[in-house]
Amino acid sequence: MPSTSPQLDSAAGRSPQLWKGIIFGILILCLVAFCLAPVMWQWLTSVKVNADIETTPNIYFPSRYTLSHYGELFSRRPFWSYLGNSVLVSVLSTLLCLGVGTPAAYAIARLRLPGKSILLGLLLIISLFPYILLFLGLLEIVSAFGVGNNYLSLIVPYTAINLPLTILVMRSFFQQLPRDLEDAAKVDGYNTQQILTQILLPLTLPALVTTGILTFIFAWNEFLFALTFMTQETLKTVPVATAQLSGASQFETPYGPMAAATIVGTIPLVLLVLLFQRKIVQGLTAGAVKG
Amino acid sequence: MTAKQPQAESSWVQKEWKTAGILVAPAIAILLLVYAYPIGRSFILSLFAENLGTQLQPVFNGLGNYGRLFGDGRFWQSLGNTTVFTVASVAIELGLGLAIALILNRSFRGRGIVRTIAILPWALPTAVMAVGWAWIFNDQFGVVNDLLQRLGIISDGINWLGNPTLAMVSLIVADVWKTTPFVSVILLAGLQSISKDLYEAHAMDGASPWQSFTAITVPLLMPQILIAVLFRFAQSFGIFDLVQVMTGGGPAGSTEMVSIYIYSTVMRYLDFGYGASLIVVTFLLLILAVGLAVYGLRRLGVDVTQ
Amino acid sequence: MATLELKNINKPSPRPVVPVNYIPLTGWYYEFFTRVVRSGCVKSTTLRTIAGLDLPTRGQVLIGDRDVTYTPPGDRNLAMVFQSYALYPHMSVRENVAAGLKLRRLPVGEISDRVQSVAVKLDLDPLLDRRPSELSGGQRQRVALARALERRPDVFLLDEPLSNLDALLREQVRGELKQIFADQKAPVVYVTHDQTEAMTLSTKVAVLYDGHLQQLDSPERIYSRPANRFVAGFIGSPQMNLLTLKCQGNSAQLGRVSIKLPNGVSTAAATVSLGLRPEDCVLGYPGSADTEKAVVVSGTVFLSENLGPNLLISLQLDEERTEESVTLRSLVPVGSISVGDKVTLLLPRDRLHWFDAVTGDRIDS
Repeated sequence: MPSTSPQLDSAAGRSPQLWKGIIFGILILCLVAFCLAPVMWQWLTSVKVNADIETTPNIYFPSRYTLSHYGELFSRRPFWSYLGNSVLVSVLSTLLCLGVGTPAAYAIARLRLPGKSILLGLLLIISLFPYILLFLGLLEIVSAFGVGNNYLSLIVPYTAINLPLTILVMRSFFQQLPRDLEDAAKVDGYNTQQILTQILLPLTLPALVTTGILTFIFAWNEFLFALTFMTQETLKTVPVATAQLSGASQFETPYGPMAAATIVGTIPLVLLVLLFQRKIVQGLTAGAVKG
Repeated sequence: MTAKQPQAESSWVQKEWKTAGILVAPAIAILLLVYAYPIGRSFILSLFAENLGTQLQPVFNGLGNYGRLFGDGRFWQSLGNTTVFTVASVAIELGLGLAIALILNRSFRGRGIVRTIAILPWALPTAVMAVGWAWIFNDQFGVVNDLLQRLGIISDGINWLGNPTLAMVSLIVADVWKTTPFVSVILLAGLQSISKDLYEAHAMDGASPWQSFTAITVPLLMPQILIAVLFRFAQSFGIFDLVQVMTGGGPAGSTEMVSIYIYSTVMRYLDFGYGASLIVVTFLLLILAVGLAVYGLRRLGVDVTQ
Repeated sequence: MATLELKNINKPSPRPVVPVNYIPLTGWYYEFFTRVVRSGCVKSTTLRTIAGLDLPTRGQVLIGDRDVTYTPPGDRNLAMVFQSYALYPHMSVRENVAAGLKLRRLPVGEISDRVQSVAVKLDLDPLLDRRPSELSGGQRQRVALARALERRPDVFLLDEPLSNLDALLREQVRGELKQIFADQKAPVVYVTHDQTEAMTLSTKVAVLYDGHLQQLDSPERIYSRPANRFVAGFIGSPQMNLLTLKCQGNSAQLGRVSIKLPNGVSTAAATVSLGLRPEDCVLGYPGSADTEKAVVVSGTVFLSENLGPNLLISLQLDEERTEESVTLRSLVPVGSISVGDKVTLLLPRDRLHWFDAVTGDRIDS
């Protein structure tokens, strides 16, 4: 009797198990569709000819494909400049942010520093500030220094808006490093600067990559400052340029190029996510969830 | 000798302070420039009238801007719009984010790739995808109208972004798509930190999955839930790019958020003094809300500065 | 040879629960100095104070005649082996060992000579180009040791260097350590929880308890003349019998036997502590020994534990009044005794340790 009961169990349990699996599979399909469909639709629009775009009912399986919308972006508009601006501003602000934020994170994680907990609390609070609170004062600074339509007017604010996250994430990485390692280095005779550059820097390289990817994403995606401080056409970044495409044509909305622009603007980030999904998740949780 | 010692010790400590100070100083300098100055400056400027009427020269106005603000129906409407948008989007994102986190917490084949896809929307530029969403909700050729017509739910295309209520709905849908992944990443991290033993022990006690969910998952996930809500609330409250690109605050101001109103007050009407007072009020409201949230987290035993 | 001296060092414990600790070590010169400690924090604090990683709130650390109390760790010329080994994970074994020398700007030739000779000595030369993550625990431990040795420091600090090794390896490395440091002309401060390490390696042992120094002495004297009841009970395995006896005049009552207290002991106290190591209790029979030299007691065995080489028996002494039962443990040859046997034990008078019942201090001189 005991030998047959497992068989009975599995026979009875199979069909609910099967149904559970099917429902779970459908849920996952829904999730994937929910996340991808809007992007896929942009892609589909971007490769359809104008006649296929502007028709009802919509065409989901076009008979003709075209790359002309992409061609238009790069030939009739300075899209290479937009991409270049975005890359330049994002990369430089990311490097500056890591260079400034990492030493600060180390000091907060390891050294005696008066007012440390106040500083940490402030960092957390300002990481919640919407950029609209800053833009009026920044506008004054930008015009006072005459750096409107200058990369600096984006690089410095982007560095600042990413500093709280960088410091919080790097601090949690420094705290995870064994303290003995720094003590051993001190006994060996390394000074603080040497400990930072020769012992800790090589060890925190993965953490720097994690943080750098996040700051790059935030810088690439920023809209308000880029819209306000960069008014010259060739200095615009990809998000602003894409958002302003519709107004560029007087007669009709250029749906095809707009869809192509959304694809071009998202491709660098899609690549980042595909390559560094794990690190992005790691950084987000380290930055937001403490303890 | 004994007199020298405390001095020597304090110089040791002071040396460490000095090192720490040097390491922190550049970061603090940048934060002062980009955060402290603009916000402080807004407080000062909010006491002045500086607009086209004063030839853009600051004229001291006391609390005049704040008086104007209390009677400014457009401001109160934008605050109401922002509240509706924030409450609706954060609530939906929390529910949906929790569901996605629960799905992604189970093990299945291809989980890695599904997780990658699930954070993709979060990483894409909001302004760029707002262009995409405007196209999706397009009244003539939009895919939403097309799908609804094919399903026979509607017969004629709806002007989503041209109707006050539907424009708000469209914005919320786009925001939910964009930021639910953030919530689910945070919640998933929380789920992964809950020991499986707890569920097994609870199941041995005869609990159903639903009972386990309410008795174990939700309470233990509370810190992550609150942190996600805190971050999402602040971001949602200051939403700018999505709205600016998709509706521009329209139709007829029905989706005008506080940030959009501030932006046009400053950039379109060039009313700097009044814009500053709007910024100050928004700032104070945010601080109040965050203060309450942090207080709540403390009471739950989560020290967000730890 | 350099010397190390701690004068009136006082370092408040990081844990607020523990009272402020005084480690009053004055004017001592240690060749191989082991501290045996009961629990965590204090011993590391002392070591870190010597290394310069923590500051004392008062007192001085002297190396030779240099006051290094406020000197940065790197300028003290001492080397430390950490419990976790603290090898730099991104450097090869060779780079790890050479790091301290490079910082001191030694000529490249000398650095490689020194690394080579230390590597040969510790059997590390085939491993020099590996990373720490590619080494076993024992190998990592030797790299940490090599890193300390090639520095040729004025003082060696070892923080539980064997505690992360498995039991078998620990015994082997313990022997190697003794040989290696016998050649070194520098004091070694060695912190351990393990009394065997302390007894086998040290020329002097400091027993610390609750932040206070209990005894500072040679291993032999720590064992044979423990300074107080704590040291007596802490050092030695199986643990020393510690009995509280009633006093009558200048003698104490153990079961039916009355033992004369050592000379010069105050008899005002009502009770006194008697310590006796299980290995010092010898099996005998009534009238078998000179009562001048040994106290003879008898009792019933109620527990016997086989330790391999010998048997640890616990017996209940015969009493005048049963409510005051006294148990005594003794090491006896295997197979000689079983539970329920009545036995007679001879307790040599020169092996009895007397402690004050209140303060716990040793009272025989």
